[in-house]
Amino acid sequence: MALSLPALATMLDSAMNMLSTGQSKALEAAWEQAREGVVLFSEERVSYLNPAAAAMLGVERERVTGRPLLLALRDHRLEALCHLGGEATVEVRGRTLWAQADPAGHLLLWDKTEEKARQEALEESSRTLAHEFRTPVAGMLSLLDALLEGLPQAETQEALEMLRHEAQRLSRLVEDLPLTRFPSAQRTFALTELQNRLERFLAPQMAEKGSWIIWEIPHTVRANPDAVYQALLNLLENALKYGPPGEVRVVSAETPEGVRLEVRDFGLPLSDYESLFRSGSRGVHAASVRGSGLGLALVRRLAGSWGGQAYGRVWEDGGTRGNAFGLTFPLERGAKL
Amino acid sequence: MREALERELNKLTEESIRLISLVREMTEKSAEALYQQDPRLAQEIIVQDEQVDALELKIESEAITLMARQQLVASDLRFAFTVIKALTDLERAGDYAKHVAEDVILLSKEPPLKSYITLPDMGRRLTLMLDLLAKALAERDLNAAKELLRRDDEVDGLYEEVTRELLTYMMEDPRTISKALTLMRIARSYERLGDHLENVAERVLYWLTGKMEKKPEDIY
Repeated sequence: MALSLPALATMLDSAMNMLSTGQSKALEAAWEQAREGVVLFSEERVSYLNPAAAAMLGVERERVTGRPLLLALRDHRLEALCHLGGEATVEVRGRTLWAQADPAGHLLLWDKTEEKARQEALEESSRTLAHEFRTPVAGMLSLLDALLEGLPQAETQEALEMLRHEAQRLSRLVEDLPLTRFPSAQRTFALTELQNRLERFLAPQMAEKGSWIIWEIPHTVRANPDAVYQALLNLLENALKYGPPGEVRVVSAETPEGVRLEVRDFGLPLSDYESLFRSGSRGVHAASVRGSGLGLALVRRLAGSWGGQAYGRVWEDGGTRGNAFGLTFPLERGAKL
Repeated sequence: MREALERELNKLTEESIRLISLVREMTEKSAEALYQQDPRLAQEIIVQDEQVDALELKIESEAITLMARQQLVASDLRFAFTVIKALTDLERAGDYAKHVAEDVILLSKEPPLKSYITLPDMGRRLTLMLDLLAKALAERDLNAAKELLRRDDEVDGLYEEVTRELLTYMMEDPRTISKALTLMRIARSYERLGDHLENVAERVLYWLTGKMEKKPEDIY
């Protein structure tokens, strides 16, 4: 049983009028089952509240029935609503309640906690999507600028191919939107397949920063190449944005569990990596750089799509150290890596 | 005679719940203002603190009148004392929510150091503690008061966590020191707010059981 609050209020009013007709017992039985909270009061005291209202308010019925309103509601805003009448959304006992009251003697409650959580999740996924689209579109715009300024024949052809590639990838991204991200299209491929595209795509950022990438990725993995490309692009962009200028290494290695792919910079090791993977969280060095703090949360989600993980750690190699952000790929059953 | 006394005692309980509810609203708003970086919401809290101060004085005067008029004994007497002692703690709790609001206004003038996750979480936990306090008082619920004491340990744990994290920020990048210090002050305000709620819960336990569980060394 789920009704809109105004409908419930009308029902309640007519129900009150019918009380004299001997139907009060049937009505009370209905209220006892209702998912909406119903509180009746007279002369500042609670005369009835249904189980839904007791659950929403976190009170025990037998302890509050007959007692002053404020002792049952335990919220001055709800009490004021009962006095003045009207509607309000109130956070009570960790829940978001939509309340409607009539000073004549009833208060109706509607639990909006899940709806609010859904709304927040929707907002977060919109932010994630915006982040996911911003990078390729910015890359495409810089390629288009280069084309407009005029390029030699061979490079024009290459730029057009890259544009086509990126447009196709965005198109696939859009197709996947209503479903789980990157649900299918898994295949076994060599990581080196991604190298040239990434290198060319990030060329403007590398030139601007004075950085270059060293590739040591001889392994083969099973995943959706688009998802790996997207994850690696995010990691490399982070290294170029937040790391020091100079060398950035992309290294893959075999582990007992499968394959590990890492982007390593030579920056000052961070104190905490895990918190950076939380959505909306940004690192200490990020204060001066534009960003939404969504990149690593997204990378983690992408890694999950192929059953892998995303992590950050300090890497050390003979006295040299820096920050490594990596992806894991589980061992393919029955396949040789 | 007893009926009149009951009425006055109930009135005192109601007013105390109103005070708790006000402080709860301020604490809830402070966490939201911090999370959303919203100085306008923070400003509302500062205004509400005046209501808390006025209500504190009103309840105190009512409690004193009650004690003067009625010969309170046993649990009734303990209750009146519980309310009078709790007033000071609740008023201070409101002050700490206001301090957080003032710091939020300060922070909102510059870009945030990071997304604030743990600090608003501390604030939300405190609002749940205030819910428990209201329940303990309204329903004479011993377990709610004990649960509150347990929750305060969690808030203290978060305080330690935040302090350590902020120290790391300051050591890594001295430019963050000013902001990190403000954030540390917010964490401290929340931790102190929790301590005041703990004091009230201990008083409520005393009222309900007649036993003071606080060790003498914890009182000051």
